[in-house]
Amino acid sequence: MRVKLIGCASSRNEVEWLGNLGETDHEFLDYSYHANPVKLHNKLQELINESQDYDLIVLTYSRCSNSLIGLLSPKVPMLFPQTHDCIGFLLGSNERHLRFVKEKKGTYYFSQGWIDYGRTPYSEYLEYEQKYGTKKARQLIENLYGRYSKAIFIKTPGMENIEYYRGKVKEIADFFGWQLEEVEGDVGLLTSLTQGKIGPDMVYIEPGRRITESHYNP
Amino acid sequence: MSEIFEEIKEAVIDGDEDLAGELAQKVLDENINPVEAVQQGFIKGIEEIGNSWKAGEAFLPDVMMAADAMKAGLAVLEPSIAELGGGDDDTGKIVLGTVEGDIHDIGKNIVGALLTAAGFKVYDIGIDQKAENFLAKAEEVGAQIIATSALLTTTMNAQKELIEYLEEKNLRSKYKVLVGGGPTSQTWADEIKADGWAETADEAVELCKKLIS
Repeated sequence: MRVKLIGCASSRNEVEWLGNLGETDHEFLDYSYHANPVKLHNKLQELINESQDYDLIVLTYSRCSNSLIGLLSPKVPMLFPQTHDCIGFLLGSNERHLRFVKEKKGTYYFSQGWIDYGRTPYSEYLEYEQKYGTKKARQLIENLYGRYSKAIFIKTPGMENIEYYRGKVKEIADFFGWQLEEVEGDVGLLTSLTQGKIGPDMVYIEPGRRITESHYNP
Repeated sequence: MSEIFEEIKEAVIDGDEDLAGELAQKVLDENINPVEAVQQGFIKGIEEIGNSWKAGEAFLPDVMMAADAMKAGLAVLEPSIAELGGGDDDTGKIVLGTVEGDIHDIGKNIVGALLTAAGFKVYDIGIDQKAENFLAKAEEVGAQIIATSALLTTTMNAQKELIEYLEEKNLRSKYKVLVGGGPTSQTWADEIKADGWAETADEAVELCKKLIS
């Protein structure tokens, strides 16, 4: 079976660590699509159109601000997590994610990929400081992140040099005065996905059917 | 007079809060019509930066700083605008907030600033607000519109719950309920029977004007 995996950099490390069927082509998109659902939607549709000679398309994107709604793969089935975002599938399930949402309001989550490939709130501050000066940068960052109160680092298996990532998250949490917590990730869902297996919290779409809101609320 | 409007516009585009406040004060000192200063200065500036943002030429921080500059100017002008009778009860009152569980407010704040500039009286109740708080504020101030923001798919359902809460209290028809935020859409608004949805802050202003007229 030839599989095309289109993924976000936020979970790239986990996907690569898990390995694959051997016939999977990976394509990871820049993390910055996270902030632009329309752009992400269009990019994914473009890549899906280009991948019509595979047997299965796996997306390691989930709802991601409803970016996936409306996507259509004419000839190839698609498989993707039914979670809200990468936090959900790195935590292993919707149930666990929603429990976190309820119990830990105002939390900014960090995965290894977010630190490696993303722009953290602290690096954003440094950019603004250089561009706009300290006073403006502080004001912007307060407006952007002032309502958060906690950083959660999702530790996933296969992580090398974990102290480096702990240090990075601590640096950010200290700068913003956030509480710091570390939780164990669960790559069960991601494992099934990368093996093309359909399981709980996953959506399998037959070719020619558009992704709709109802796929997330069966 | 058009010179100062031009300066105001530039101050907003540059996101210069201090200058925007000073120019607003100058408007008052020189007995220039504050409503015209808002319409031909502040709004023109925010419109221009908004258009640059949509075209990908400006970045979110630029828009945020422009909105802050506009807010600083409006704060100076608001009392005299109210005295003139503009921007008062007849224009409409809007309760604005981010739904329960959600702490994101950048978009909401920009919407609030534009609505204020358009002459609406905006009651911003902040982030992470329960349905009952939206309703309590709306009842207290006699608002016509309740506008709700949600940035996450994990929290947008609270917009639906707010509408259900109004139905429960038999007050649904008393208010126009608007929804907005990254994951929301017209389809979502239709599904939960909201009165409107807007993708951008300027569309939200147009929508409120339409709903209140």
